[in-house]
Amino acid sequence: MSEPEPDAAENAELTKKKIIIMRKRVEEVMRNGAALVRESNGLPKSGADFELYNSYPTFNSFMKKSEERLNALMAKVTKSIGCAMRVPDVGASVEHYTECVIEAQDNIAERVSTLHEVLKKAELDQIVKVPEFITKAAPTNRKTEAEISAAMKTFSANIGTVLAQKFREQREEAAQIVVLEKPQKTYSIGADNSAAPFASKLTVKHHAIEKRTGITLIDDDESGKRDWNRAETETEEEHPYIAEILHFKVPKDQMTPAEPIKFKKLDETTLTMVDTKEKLEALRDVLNNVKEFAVDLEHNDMRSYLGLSCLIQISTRDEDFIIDPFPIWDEIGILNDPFANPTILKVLHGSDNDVLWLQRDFGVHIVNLFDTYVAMKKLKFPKFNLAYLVSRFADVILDKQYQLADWRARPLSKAMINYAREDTHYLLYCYDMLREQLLKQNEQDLASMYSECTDVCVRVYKKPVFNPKGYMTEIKLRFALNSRQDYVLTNLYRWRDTVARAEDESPQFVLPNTMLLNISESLPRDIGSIYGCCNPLPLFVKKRVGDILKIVVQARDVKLEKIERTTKEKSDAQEARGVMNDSMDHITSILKSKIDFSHTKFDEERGEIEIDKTVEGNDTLLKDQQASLLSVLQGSAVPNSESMIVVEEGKSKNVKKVTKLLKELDKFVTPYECYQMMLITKQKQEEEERKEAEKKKLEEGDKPKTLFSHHDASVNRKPEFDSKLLNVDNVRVDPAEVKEQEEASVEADKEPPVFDPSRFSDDQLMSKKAMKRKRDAARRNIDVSIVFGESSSSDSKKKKTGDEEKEVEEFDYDKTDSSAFHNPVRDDNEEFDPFHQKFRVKRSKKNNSTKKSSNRQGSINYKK
Amino acid sequence: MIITGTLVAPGDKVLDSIGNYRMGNGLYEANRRIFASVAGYVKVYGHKDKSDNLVQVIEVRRSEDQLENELLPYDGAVVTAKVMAVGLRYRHFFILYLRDHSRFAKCDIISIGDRVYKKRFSALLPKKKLRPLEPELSEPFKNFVRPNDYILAKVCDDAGIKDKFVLSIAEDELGVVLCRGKFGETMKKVDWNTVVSTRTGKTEPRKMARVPQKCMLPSDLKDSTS
Repeated sequence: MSEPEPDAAENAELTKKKIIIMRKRVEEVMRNGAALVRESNGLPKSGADFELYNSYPTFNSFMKKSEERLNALMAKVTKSIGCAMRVPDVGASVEHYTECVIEAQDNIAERVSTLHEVLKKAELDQIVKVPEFITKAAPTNRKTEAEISAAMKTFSANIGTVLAQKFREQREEAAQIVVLEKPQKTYSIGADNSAAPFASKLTVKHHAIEKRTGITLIDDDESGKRDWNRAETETEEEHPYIAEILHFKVPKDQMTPAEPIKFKKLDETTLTMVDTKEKLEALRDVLNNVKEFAVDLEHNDMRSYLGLSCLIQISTRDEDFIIDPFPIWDEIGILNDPFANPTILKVLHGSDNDVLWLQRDFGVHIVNLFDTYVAMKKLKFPKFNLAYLVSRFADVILDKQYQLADWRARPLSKAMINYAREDTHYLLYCYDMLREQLLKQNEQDLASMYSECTDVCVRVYKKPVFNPKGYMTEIKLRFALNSRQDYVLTNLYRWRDTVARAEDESPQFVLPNTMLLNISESLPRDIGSIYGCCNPLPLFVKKRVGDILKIVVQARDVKLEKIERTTKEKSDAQEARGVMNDSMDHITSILKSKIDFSHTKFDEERGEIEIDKTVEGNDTLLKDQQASLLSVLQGSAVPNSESMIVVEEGKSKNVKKVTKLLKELDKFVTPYECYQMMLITKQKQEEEERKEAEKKKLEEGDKPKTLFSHHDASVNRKPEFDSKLLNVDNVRVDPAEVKEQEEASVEADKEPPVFDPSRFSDDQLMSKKAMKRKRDAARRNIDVSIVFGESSSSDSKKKKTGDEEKEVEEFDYDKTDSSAFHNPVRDDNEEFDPFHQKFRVKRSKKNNSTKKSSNRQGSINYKK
Repeated sequence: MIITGTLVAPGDKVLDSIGNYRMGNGLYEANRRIFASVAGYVKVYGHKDKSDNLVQVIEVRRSEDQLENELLPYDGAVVTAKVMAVGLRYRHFFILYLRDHSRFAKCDIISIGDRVYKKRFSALLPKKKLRPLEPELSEPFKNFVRPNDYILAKVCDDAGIKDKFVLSIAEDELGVVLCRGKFGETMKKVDWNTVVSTRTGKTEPRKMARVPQKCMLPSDLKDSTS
């Protein structure tokens, strides 16, 4: 108890001493600062003074030297503090210097505050870890890694931004790994991108079972031919190891439970990079002597048409191997020996593609496979990815950031190698655990799992076949195509495929789907607008823009039409995309959510949704009585109205009052009930009316209809023409025309024709032009008739005109009143102009007769 | 074949796949299977779509009657409503004219069919829907309905008004069923177009619904029972 006290006293003394020393130092700094200011005041001021001094070369050189020295000093000081400052170049402006100094000061203050915080935490007995302040060249806008990690540790509020920054940095890092030349070229790896069927690369067939020739078809004539045919088909379709895989029996030790063997730590296992033939042969020998090993492949399908295996990772119980396949591309086939060996177990995760890639690139076939993915599905895990598997069993969290990295890059970075190695390192232990769990669950499950894995093994690699209408399923069309757009789309789709095959690139790399759609939608007119459709510009669009332009120009000659897709095509496309749009309705649209995978065929979390198609046909109501809610519904009966009465506690039911109230309520008729009653009575009335009408009808019998209305069905009646009506028509027509018609009618009387034009008026028969011509002719005829005084027709109108003529002839001028002519002519249309010749003349005349009247007249005219 | 008329509860599987049927009400789809979302009877009926093709629609209904299946006022439902106000809109514009140029009567739907709800639906009775196919009137509501009247009306579809239910009384059977006078007294029917006050004997024009006048106000009920 007495010991710590002197310690504390000592500590107090020490701190006191320290404080004194610190004070002294601060005082010294202050004194020096004041001296500095005094000295600097003695220097010549900027402006004319400084200019004058500056003209002396000695002063100038001295100033330059001192500036350099100051620069160096500043850099040194900031570095020693721990926040190096980017010192401006010699000769920079004063503003630049001050800016830099302020920045440096800010950094220093920041660092002091962080250190202060850390120290505070240290007082509270927390773990002290002074964040390492790594400054690269100079403090820039980018936060340093240390800062980020510090922020991550303190869980600052804006952790999202920090994470985003981290990701961005990683992406930048990934972008730095650039593959300058395709490995296919450097290592001369040939790929057959032609449409020819895939030929197996298998050279030596290891572990082959002798074919039993006992069961052969005996056909004397064509047996030879048949055999030859079969040999050919074997290369393109049949799996070379089909017999072996089908005869494969799972070794007994794989079916019996055993203690799981814990994986070795990463540091303790040796990693061998296999990149020469000798190393590969050594690896083969190693693999031949083990009982099981784990395999994984890294693949790149962006920069080659068929895809390229970039890395093979193999793990045994004791060692890890990473094969760089590029330098020893053709030799890897020797690994077929352990891979095809049915007594050696190969453990893979999600082996569907790996099996095919091994076949395609190296001619390696797998017999005896354990797929952890299938096993996880059998065990109904919540997730099926490798990261989950490893974290569950090995308790290691895998960093999956390199999953989509460009694995063609050489040399591989340490992180990438580490990632590749971890992919297989824990797999064997996971296999042990899965096997035990499967055996525990049901022994049959393990057997069925192996049978599923053999199904995977049997798969044969086939080259992708170009489908000219493939864009229907591959690309999601966001607009309805017209014929031109369709033309461009089809041709560009084909062009893309041919270019991809020729250049050994993936079609997506040649021209991504979005850009393909962009071009076919906008139909660009020139190269510039083609470039505009593609951002960022793909390499081959730039190289071969002429081809694209040609296609687009050709499309402009196609007749513009709308293309209707058949419903089958649409549904096929939708089916291929795994979307069921046709069954989308009101309810499903509500229920649909982005995290709901039920509308797609595949759910990455749950795996494939099993839909048994056998049941789909019959529409029977399959109801599980126990699961249904019906039992609940049926159990509950509607309670009696009296039993529903709620009574206050302690009081008995007043049944009489209640029944009275209910009766009263029953008496009350709601308006709707009235309405219903009315409807019923109305229906009855209508029925009665109908019955009465029917009765009447029966009584009256079938009388011919006399009254018609527009509701009646139209009756075809023959056209009736009234001769009088025809005459009325003629009255309006000119006399010459009438004459013609009369002549026609005379002719008609003589021999009745089938078609009688006289029955119809002219405007019904003739065209407009013909009518006009006829009218003109008629006018000419009228003139003639007037001149000759022809009045052959009995037309009343004609007679009238004749009478009028006579009256005009007999007109007596003496009888008429001539005074009217003395009055001036009132022309409404003409405006009054006092200086007009006409009026002047009139005025002078009127002046002669009566002055007053003329004046009045003039004024009136003026008013008008 | 589907057994029509089978009783199903929510969550019961009705079909394994929709097949050639069209989804109707009371069903939902999950994992390509069809389930019932309400308790009721399965029903299949033919329905002509826009292109005049006959399609088989499958539905789960509570009963044959449409009224039973719908919860909200639907197009064509006969409702009982109370006229709350006449001419709330645009009234201030026409204050100088002293005449009622209102275009709407504001109503509250009390019950749809026979069902009474806790809350009332607000609805509009436009002046166009007062009588069938006749020119518009200058003082539309004066001769038809007044505030605090209880009316029988039909919910109808109006392209112009989307935010409220639109009512119509343009039928003989629809119109005023209950009305009160100035002093809260009951007005009795004289003929289908006039009512008379039981207290003052004043007559007022109304468009009465041609239904048996059996519904009474609570006060009258008391009188009749006592």
